[in-house]
Amino acid sequence: MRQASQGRRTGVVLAAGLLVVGVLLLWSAATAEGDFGLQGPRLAPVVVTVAWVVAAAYYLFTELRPRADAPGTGIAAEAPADSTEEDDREEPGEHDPEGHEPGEAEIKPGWRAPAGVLGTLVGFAIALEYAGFVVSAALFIVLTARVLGSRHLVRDVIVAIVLPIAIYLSFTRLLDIFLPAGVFPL
Amino acid sequence: MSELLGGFATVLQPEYLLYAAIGVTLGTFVGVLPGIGPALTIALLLPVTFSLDDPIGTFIMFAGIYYGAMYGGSTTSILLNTPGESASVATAIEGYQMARRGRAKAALATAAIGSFVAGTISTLLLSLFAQPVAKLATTFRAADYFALALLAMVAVTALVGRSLVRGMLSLIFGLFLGVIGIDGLTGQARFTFGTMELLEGIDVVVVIVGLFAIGETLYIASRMHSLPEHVTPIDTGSSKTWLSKDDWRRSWGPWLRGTAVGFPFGALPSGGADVPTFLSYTYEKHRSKNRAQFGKGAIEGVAGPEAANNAAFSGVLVPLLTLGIPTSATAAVMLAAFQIFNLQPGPQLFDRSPELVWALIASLYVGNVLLLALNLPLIRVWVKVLQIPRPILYAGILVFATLGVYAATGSVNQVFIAYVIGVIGFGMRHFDFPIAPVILGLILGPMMELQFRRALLVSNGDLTVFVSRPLTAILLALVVVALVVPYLPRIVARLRGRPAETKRLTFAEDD
Repeated sequence: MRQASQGRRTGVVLAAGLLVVGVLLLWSAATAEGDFGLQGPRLAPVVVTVAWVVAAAYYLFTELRPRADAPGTGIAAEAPADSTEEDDREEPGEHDPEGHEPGEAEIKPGWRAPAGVLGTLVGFAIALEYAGFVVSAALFIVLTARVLGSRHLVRDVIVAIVLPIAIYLSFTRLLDIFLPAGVFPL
Repeated sequence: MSELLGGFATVLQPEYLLYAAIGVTLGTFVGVLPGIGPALTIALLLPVTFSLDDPIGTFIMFAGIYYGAMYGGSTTSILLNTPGESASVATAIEGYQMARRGRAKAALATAAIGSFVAGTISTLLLSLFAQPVAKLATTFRAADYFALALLAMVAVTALVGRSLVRGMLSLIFGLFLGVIGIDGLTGQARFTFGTMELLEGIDVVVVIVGLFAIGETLYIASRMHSLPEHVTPIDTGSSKTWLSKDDWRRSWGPWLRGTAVGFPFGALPSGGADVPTFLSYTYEKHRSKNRAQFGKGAIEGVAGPEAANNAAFSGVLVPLLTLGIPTSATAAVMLAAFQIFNLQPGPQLFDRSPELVWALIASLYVGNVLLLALNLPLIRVWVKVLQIPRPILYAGILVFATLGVYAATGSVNQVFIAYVIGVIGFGMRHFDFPIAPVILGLILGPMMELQFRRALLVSNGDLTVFVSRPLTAILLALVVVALVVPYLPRIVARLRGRPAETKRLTFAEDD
């Protein structure tokens, strides 16, 4: 479970952000030109974005509402009298679906690995049409495995050479699906 | 019946049997990978079918992929405690405990045989129900379809998930994605922000790969060090047989009850397999003589949910094939697959391509048999797949995800759209928003809008078209019921003058 006070602050920020985006989208939908009638194309965007704004506002409201477990008590033990929607998390006696053992410490999620993976992904997509599938995928696999904590460079390189070539050959030769060849001489 | 026999005649040709075997093997292989559920498995394997010009072969393969993915998912849940989708969560609870106590073989066997039993019975039910429902569906009008889509949407979000407001926000996000692009009836651009790329709308494959593959991998990357790495060995038990006599005795009841729960819940618009698996688990837990064993590896807790999971799939096919309405994320991907072949599921499908429908149904029987024949004997191979080092595994999944989007759309820009959706999916996972409502919103939203406007076009803008026919009115009344049911305990408590309990009825974990 999240730390109560910190979790609440991010929750408020998230809800407020959703609300702002919703309002902007609503404004964009409402100012578009066209038929806003029941049969027209402009009604649905307005309906959807109004729903977005209402739901986000309600979400913000529940996040701002004072909770039974006061911030600062550390791990939030859900008070039985708490009536917010979000807080009926675990039924007593139900198992934690994430598979945490009861005593297992909650591990703080890291941000570097996902940011790194996103970086390699973007590089992959950019390189794809210039360098070709095989080369870009090979580099991507080595770098991504590294970012994800692999320390077996030789193994990664072998996989990074064999897998893309196998995919490339089976897709282009067997399945007739176009993949950019790029600099790879095949 | 003769149509079904015709279907068997098609499927049992060697070529199609090969398709089924490839599907089952591929599906199991990908489904076994931790964190990958059937919806993503099908989405990732969609490109493989692009070059096939034979829809029958493709759908036979899909049926195999789906069954394989489901079976592979239960293997992962049992041996690694990482359910790839919410329908496997119930299996993981008891299955993993069984595996830890050296009963992995029994857990895997009761899952496999239970899936076979449930799959066979529910496919039989599907063959019986499909035609009559399709006949009934030919009388449906636009207003009815609108009401049905609305019902599917409301039932999904109201019943599944712990937090209504989060589920609603997920659904609304999906609806928003569905509005993007050119309006089908008037050709006007909506939410394209002046870009060409968004004009065609956002493809469901792009969204599924983005949310489930990219988002999920980013999420896993953020907590890589806390993942269970240890695969429970399957041979620690001394028993030579898969299931002891006692295991059989304790399993068959839950199998049948799981099937009985799974099929109708799958067929109703209620979000596929999530609800029935949890219902089955809860039921077995409360009525079992071995209640004390629950939480410590009770075989009933694996047998029931697995059967329900499998039966629900055949159930989901009823509205998908006869009405064209998907009620689970996987069904939404199947619908996308149909549309790649320019086939529109619905009542006309039974008239226009009966050989396809019946071959698909027959292939479900065949896939079931193949699975049983392939899986238990090959369990050692699947365990090897589980032992692929994680960094390599996830790098490979990302390559396939990127490849899948690129092959499906032929555009790097679409790959970037998938990445953006992936980042959003990562955020949703991180903040505990359910994923499945996004997919359903994306599919059902445009369907709803189209039928709503069509109904009004027919009635010249008269809104009473939605209440003047009994069928439409009943469906809309069901929408209201679906909205109220989760709050019944609270309302009843209020009426009795007790302080309101806070629990909504929730069956499943978020996604």
